Amino acid sequence: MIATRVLPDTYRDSGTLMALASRLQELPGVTRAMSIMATPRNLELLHTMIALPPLECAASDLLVVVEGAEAAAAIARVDELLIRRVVAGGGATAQPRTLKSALALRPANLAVISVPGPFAAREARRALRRGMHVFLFSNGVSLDDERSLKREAAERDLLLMGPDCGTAIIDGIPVGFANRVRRGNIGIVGASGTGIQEISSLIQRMGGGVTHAIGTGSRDLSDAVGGTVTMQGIGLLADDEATEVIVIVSKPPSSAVADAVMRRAKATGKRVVHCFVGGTTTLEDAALEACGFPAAARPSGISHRLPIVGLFSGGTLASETRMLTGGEILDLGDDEFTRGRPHPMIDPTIRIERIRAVPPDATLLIDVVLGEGSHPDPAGALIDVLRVRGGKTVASVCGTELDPQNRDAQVAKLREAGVVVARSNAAAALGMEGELPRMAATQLARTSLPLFGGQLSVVNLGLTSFADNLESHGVPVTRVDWSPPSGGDEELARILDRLT
Amino acid sequence: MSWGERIDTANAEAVRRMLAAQPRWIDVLPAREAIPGMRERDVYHSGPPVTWERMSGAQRGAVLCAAAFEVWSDPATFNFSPNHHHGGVGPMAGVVSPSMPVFVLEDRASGLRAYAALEEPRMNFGAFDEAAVALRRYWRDELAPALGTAIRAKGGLDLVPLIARGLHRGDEMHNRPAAATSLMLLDIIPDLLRSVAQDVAIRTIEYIREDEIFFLSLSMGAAKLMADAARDVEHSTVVTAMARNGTDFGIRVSGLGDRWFTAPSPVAKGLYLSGFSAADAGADMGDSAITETAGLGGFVLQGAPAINEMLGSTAAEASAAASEMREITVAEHPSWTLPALDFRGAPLGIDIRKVVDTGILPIIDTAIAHREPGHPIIGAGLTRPPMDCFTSALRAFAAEVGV
Repeated sequence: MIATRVLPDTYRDSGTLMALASRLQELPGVTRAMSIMATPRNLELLHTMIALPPLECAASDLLVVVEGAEAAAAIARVDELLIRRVVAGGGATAQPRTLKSALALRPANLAVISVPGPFAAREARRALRRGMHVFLFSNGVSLDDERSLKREAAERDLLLMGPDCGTAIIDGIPVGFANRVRRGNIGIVGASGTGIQEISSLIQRMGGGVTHAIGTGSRDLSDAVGGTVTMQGIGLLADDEATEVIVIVSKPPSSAVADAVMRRAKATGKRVVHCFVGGTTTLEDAALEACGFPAAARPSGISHRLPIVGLFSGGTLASETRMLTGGEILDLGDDEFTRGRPHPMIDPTIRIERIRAVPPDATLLIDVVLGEGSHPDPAGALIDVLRVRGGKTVASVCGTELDPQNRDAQVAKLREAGVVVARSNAAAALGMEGELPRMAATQLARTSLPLFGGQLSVVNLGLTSFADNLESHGVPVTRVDWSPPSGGDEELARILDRLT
Repeated sequence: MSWGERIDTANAEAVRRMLAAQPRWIDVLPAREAIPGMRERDVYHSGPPVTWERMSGAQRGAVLCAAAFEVWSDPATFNFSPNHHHGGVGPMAGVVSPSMPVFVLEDRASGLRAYAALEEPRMNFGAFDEAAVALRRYWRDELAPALGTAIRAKGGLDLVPLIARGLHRGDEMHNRPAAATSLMLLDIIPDLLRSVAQDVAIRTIEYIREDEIFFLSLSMGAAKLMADAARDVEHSTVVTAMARNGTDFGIRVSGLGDRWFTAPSPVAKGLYLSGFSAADAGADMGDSAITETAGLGGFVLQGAPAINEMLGSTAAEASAAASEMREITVAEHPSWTLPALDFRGAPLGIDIRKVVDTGILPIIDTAIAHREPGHPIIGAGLTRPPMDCFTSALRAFAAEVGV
């Protein structure tokens, strides 16, 4: 059957008429639907398409014709269907796809970049050219790119933290994988992410506090890079009035670079503490010294039952343990284990598998790293597999009571499962007992690096958890819906780099 | 100078030339008079080159309509070539045979000419029934001579200012040139009345009044002259044509000469007319994406909210998609401004580097033809070119400059 409806003196744009017809056509029992302005020409056209009953209508009328078994029911819904359906969430504007459009929405002074390595350098370069400081989490950036980025940053008086920079604390705000610590008088410059995390957490637990922690990227103190950002970071902390103590932490640097860095640090006139992991000072020693405590006396030998197996998620924590114990210590965050799967600080699966394979008589050493970016309950994820090992697991928990996971709760979970929890990574490695000394906590007045103008504002490219964490600290973050150039074709990316 | 700077300079020059063009509608003539070198049994079509064997259903239908109109037999043996190879453009199937009238446009700045095939909803979409042929005859016998006489009497009509006025009245100049159609009609009515018989003038006015999209041919012709002005700028990566034939989508790039970079044409997403659905749709077709090439159409959707419903998008979505075009273009048009954007200019000059880099593809308003020959228009919507057109062009550019 055919049903018609004339809406007298009703004008609708041709687009709306098409939309109406298409909505009618979606109704059950409708084979065809047409909606037109009843102009003579349109009527003529309609007559060629369908056998119409006689109609009384004028050019200013809207005519609806529906054909099908349920035509009458459909035509009764015309008024309702003429009203625009609002799509749920349709009012939302699209996320910016590039740094440029993100900055058009809101200015920002820090780019947090965690996109895949082959594309990270170009994004970092763009951020620098727009006058932004950069936190470059990505690894896999070439040495050439690292050098040229750091040169460009220095020329522009900008701070490039990275590449392969896991941790920073800017103005008290954790960036990347970092722990929540109070503000204090200790500034940290570090080429090691978990090194910064361990030292800053120990400082917090002893009652001290941190002004800023500046990550430099893991290769900064190599001969090839020459410590550019470490020097820059020392300079920033030298100028920062609230920073009274400067801590430098790194994997072992080349001696030439180490000498230059130490000269620069001494020239600040501030108290300087350094920990080149693998040397004589442990991360714990550095934290104690920074807080004004003497280093703890080391035992003459290791009390752990042999063999010692270490399954670590933090690279520097693993190195330190390897150096102190000489055991078989694996860094499960190393590229060789993380290729194609998430980092063990985020996903405990690989470590659970490995723990199952540890001989029952061996001593297992592990780290549990808390803080922003880490698994929401890393101890909880491990306790089932650890409980069956009885008392033969020794853990250190890198984090603070302020962290989202709460260190006290994590320690309690581990102890309940029979795990021995040491006060620090070094204490776990050496089997040292006892707690950290404590001083009266002092909350220092807020200061900020002059670089960041007192107000951090971020564009995030990559891991959304980084953006979530920064937002939870009240930092304005514009998220870029990033996609690799040309779907990730590296050859095209190289061509683009040469042509732009 | 780095390659990046060299290309930026070349692109600025390409866009400067686009903006220097002064497209003007000057005549309506049979194709054989308007297009130098057109011979009998030549049939021009939209998009990049295509053979009869690979031709889409709708384009074949349009060829059949042209055969009936010219009274030629054996369509498979016609000499097919793209409009773009002859200085012209045609909407949808874009099929032009020697007796068909075309708009003639001239760039006042350079004296270069372009033609634009006429817009209508039948033959252009593959219909070849009597109604489709009759419409062409009416054009040939009455409408085209009347319009030609009137525009010659008027001395031509400048299109850049007319388009600017249309943009302020809710047009985007591709799927919606409604305001420009009215403005153009108002402009030529006195000349029509003065220069042709009154009954012919009235029928002409009535015809255009009933066809809101009439101006599309002229916005396409204007865009073609602008894009042509930007051709062959050494080292420029600016796109000078985007065109589809219902089988392939092709682009041309200023610094890469007349080469086409093609990939299979996608099917548009949109709304369908009574009795049709996405299952009937042919792949995207037409030279009309020349409007987007010149910063119009999908690039200025913020100024034409009335078409959102037809395109099946919300105002916010359409606006966001069009805003993204500023990421892949090199300039803004100084006089084609958008009140809704506080009078920012239309984004102009698509840079293939930026497309590949950002992954943002040009957004194109389009109409939808049937996959089989023999149907009039079946829908309208939005589409984007295949990324492969841009990546293969960029690779060719890199090879050409030895990078």
